[in-house]
Amino acid sequence: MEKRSTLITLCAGLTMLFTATWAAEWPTDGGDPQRTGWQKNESILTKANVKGMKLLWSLKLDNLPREMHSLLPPVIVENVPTGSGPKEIAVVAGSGDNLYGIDAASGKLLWKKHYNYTSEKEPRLGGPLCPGGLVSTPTIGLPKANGARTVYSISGDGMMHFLNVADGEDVEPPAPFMPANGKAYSLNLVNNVLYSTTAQGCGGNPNLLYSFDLATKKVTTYNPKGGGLWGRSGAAIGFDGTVYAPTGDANYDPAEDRLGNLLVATTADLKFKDYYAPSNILFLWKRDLDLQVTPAVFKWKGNEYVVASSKECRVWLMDSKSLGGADHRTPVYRTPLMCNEDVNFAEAGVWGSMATWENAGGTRYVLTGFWGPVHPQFKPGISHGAVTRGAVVAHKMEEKNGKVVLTPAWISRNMDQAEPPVIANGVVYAYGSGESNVQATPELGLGANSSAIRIKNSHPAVIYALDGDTGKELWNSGDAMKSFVHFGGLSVNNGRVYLGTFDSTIYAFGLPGR
Amino acid sequence: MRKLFVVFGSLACSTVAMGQMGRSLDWPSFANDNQRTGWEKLDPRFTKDTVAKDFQFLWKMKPSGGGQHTLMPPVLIGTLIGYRGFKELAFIGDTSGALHVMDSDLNRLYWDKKFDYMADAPKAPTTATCTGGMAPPTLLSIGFRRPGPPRPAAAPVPGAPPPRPTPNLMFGPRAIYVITSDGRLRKVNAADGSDVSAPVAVLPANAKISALNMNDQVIYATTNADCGGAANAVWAVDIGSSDKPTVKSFEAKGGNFSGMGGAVIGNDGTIYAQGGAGDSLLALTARDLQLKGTFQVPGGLKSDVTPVVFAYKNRDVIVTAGKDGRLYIADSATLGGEPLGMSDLVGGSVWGGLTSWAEPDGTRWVLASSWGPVGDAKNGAVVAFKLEEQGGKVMLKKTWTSQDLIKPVPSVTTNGVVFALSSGDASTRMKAVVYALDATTGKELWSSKNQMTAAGNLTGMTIANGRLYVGTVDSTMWVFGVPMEW
Repeated sequence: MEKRSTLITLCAGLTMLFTATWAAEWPTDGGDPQRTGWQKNESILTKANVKGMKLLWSLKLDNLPREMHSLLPPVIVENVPTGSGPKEIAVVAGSGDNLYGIDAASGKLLWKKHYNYTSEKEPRLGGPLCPGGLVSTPTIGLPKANGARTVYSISGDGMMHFLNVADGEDVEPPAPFMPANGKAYSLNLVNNVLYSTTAQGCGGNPNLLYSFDLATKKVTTYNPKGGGLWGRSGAAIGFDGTVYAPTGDANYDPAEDRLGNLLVATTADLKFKDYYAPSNILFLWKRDLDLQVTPAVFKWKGNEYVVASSKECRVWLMDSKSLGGADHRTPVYRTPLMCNEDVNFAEAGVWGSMATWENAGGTRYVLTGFWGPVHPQFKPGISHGAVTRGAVVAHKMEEKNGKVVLTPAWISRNMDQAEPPVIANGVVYAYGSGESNVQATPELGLGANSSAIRIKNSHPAVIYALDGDTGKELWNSGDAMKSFVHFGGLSVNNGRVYLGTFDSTIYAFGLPGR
Repeated sequence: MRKLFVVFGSLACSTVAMGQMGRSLDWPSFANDNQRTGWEKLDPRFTKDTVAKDFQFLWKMKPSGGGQHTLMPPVLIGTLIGYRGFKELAFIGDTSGALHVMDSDLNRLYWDKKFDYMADAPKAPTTATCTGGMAPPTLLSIGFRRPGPPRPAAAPVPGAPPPRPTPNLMFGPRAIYVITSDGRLRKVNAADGSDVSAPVAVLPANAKISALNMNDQVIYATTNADCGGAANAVWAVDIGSSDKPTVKSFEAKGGNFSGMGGAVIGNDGTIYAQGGAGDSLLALTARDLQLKGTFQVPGGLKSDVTPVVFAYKNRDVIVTAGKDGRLYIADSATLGGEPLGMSDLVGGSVWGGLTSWAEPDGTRWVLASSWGPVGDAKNGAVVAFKLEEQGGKVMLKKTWTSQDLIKPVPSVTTNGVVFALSSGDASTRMKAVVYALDATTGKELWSSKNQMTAAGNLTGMTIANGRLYVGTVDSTMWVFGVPMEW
C-alpha cells in the first residue's frame, strides 16, 4: 500500500514536473490570436541563463526560395502522438509550397509535404512583392480527443490544406480558399474559423480579408477597398472575436467605403465594424507610409486595447470599444516618431507586427522593431548606443493625468533591420534580418527593387536576447546564421528560439542539455 | 500583359500600381504645359471652398543661403519614388546658376547643385537685363508625370505627326533638363542631382534664355535682349536623334523674343514664338524650325508676351496680344489670314504671357495680366475674357477685371480659382501680394495680405498639389496652400 502510495505520489510529481516543464506551445504566428508575440508559458529560458544559449541544431531544408521569400516562422505544438511516442513538433512552411514537420528536440526532419500546384492559372513570380507559392504562416488547431493535431496552410494555388501534424498526411482533402498566385498572410484560428489577409494585388487578385469556416468550408471575404492588407502576421483577433487588420496604401474616402491607410475592424463574420484613420492619413498615403503592421490586442486594467504602427514609425494606442473615437481619427494615444525622419517608404519604419507583454510586477509593455536610424528627437530613458540600422523600442502603458499613455521605456542596441520581437519569461528576443530593403536607387529608380539585387546586398541575420525591462543585451547569435531573413519571424517555445533564413535553413537556439 | 503585370507588381512596397497613383501631379515646365496655359486641370486640393477657408502661408525659404539671386518659378515632380522615399520635389533655378530642390511637403532642402561655368567665353557680368544663371527648367515628361485620372484629351489635330517613342522609364529614374548660362544642356538625375550625361554646349554662352519647353525629345527655348552677343532666336535642341544633341535655330533678325514662356508648342507639335522681325507670331516646324507661317495684326504684336494655345473646334487656336491693347485669336489652320477673333480693349499693357482654362461645359476663358491703368485699377489688373461666338464671329468678351494689382505676372489657375500676383515694386518697397480669385467672377476668395515682405520676382508662379509658389526679390520662395498634417 505504501509502495502504491509512493508510486502515485511519484507519478503525480512527474506529471506536475512534466506540466511545469513542457507546457508551452506556439501554435500560430505571434504565439496567439491576439498577435502579442508573448510566450506566456516559457520556463526554461530566463534572464539569468540566456547568456548561455547556443545553437542547438540547424536543419537545411530542400525548400526552393521564391523571390526573397523562403521559410516562415515555425508553429510548434507538443505532445503530438506519433508512432514513436509523443513529440514536440515544429511545422515550418516554405515558399516552394512545402511544409516540414521537425522534431523540435532533435532537429530531425519527421516529414515533408509538397503541395502540387492545381490551379489552371500558371504559377508565377512577380518580383519581391509577389513571389507566389506558400507565403502564409500556417496555424495549428487544438488537440482532438485522441490528441491529434491538424495544421492548416494555404498553398500557392489558393487551396486550404489540412495535415496531420504527426505525419504530414492529409486529414481531409484540400478545399478552395482563395485565388491562385495571391499573396496571403499568416493564418489565424479562432472559434473554428480561419482568417487570412491578402495584399499587393498579386496574381491580379483583389486585396481582401478572408475567413474559412472549418465546419462548413464556407469562405467569406471583406473588402475595405483600401490597399493590400499586408500586416505580416495577418489579422489579429480580439478577445470578443473582433478581427483587426491594417489596410495599405490607397485612398481614404469613408463616404465611398474606401478605407485605405488605416486599421479596420470587422465582426467575426467579417462585417464592417469600426476603423481608425490617422489624422495625417493624406500624408501617409502620399508618402507611401501605409499601415502594414499586424496590430496586437491586449487587456490592461479591465479594458481591451489595440496597438498598431506603420512605416511612418509611431505607435497608435486604441480602445477596442471605439478605435478612433467618434470621428475615427482620435486614438487613445499617439506616440512621437521613433524613426524615419527622412520619410522613407522602404528602408525605414515599423514593419511586420507589434508585440506586447506584462512583467511580473504588472507593467505592460508595447514593443516594436523598426528599420533605419532612430529619430533624433526620440530619446527614451534607457538606450544602448547609437542606432543607425534599426532597433527595438519598448513603451510602457501608464496613466498620466487621468489619461492612458505610452511612455518610452527603452530602446535596444543597433540591429540591422530590427524585426518584430517576441517575449518569453521576461526576455525579449529580436533579430536584425540583415536583408537589403533598398527598393530604389538614384541610378535605377524602382528598378532596384529586384530580388537579385536585394539578395546580393543582404547580410546574415543575428538574433538578440534582451532584458525585457531594460533592453540590455543578454546574448546574441553572432555569426551562427549564414543568410538573411525576409518576411520570416521568430518563434519561441520550451527553451528554444527558432528562426528560418533565406537559404532555407531553420535554426534553433537554446540551452544545451535543457 | 504578363510583363506589364510584373512591372506593376514590382512597384514599391505596398499595393498594386494603380493604388499608388493618384497621389500628386507634376508641374513640369513654366505655365505647366507646352501650350503655356498656366492651368492645372486636375488638382483636387484646390477648390473655391478650400481656398476660401483653408488657404494660408505654409513655408518660405531662401535657397541661395542669403545670396541675392532671382528665383525662377519651380517645376515640380509630384511623386518621385526615389532612394529616399516618395517625394514631392520642387526644382528652383536661380540666376546664380544653382538648382535648389525642395521636399515640398516638409520644407526641407532635398539637394542643391551649383553648376560650374564651362564655356570658353568668359562669364559675363550680371546686369538687370542680362541676369545669367538659369532659366526655368523642364522635366522629362514621362512615367508619373500625369498620375491619376486621365487628362482631358486634346482635340485631335489633323496632320499631327506621330510622336517618336520615348524611353519607357516608368519605374526608372527621372531626369530634369536645365540650360545654364554657359550654354550647356544639363541632364540631371532628379533623385540626387548627379549628371545623367555629360554637359553639352547647345546655346551661346551668356545668352538670356527663356523658360524651356519640351516635346517629343526636343527642347525648345528662346534667347533675347542680345545678351552675351547671342542672336535673339528660337532654338531647338534635339536630344533624341543621337548621342549628341543636334541644335537648330531661327533668328529674329533684328527683333526679339522676350515673352516669359519662350517657345510655345501646339497640340500638333508646331512651335509658336512671338516677336522677331515685324513683331509677328511665327509658326515653325517642330525640330527643324522651318517657317510655316506668320500671323500679323496692324500695329504689330507685343514681343514681350508669350501666346497661349488651346484646341478649338478640332484645331489649335493661338491667342496673343497686340500692341493696340487687344487680344487676338489666330487660327492655326489659316495663320496668315484674318484673325479668327479679337477681344475688347484690355486696358493697360499686357505683360509676360496669357493664361487659359475651360469650364467643364467647355466654356473657354483667357486671362491677361496688364500693367498700367485698367479701368478703376490704376496700377494694373488681371482681365478675364470669355470666348464667345456671336453671329458666327468669335470674340473674347471682357467678363471681369480684378482689383488693382501692381505689375501682375501671368496668372495660374485650377479648379475654378485664379491666382493673381501683385508683384509690388522693389524700387518703392511695395511688397508682393497674392490673390485667389473666383475664376468666373473675379471675386476675391483669399489674399496673402501683408505676409510677404518683399516685392515679387517678375518670373511667374507655380501651383501644384494644394500649394502656390511665389518668389520675391530677396531670394525667398514663398509657399501658400492648403495645409496637410504630416
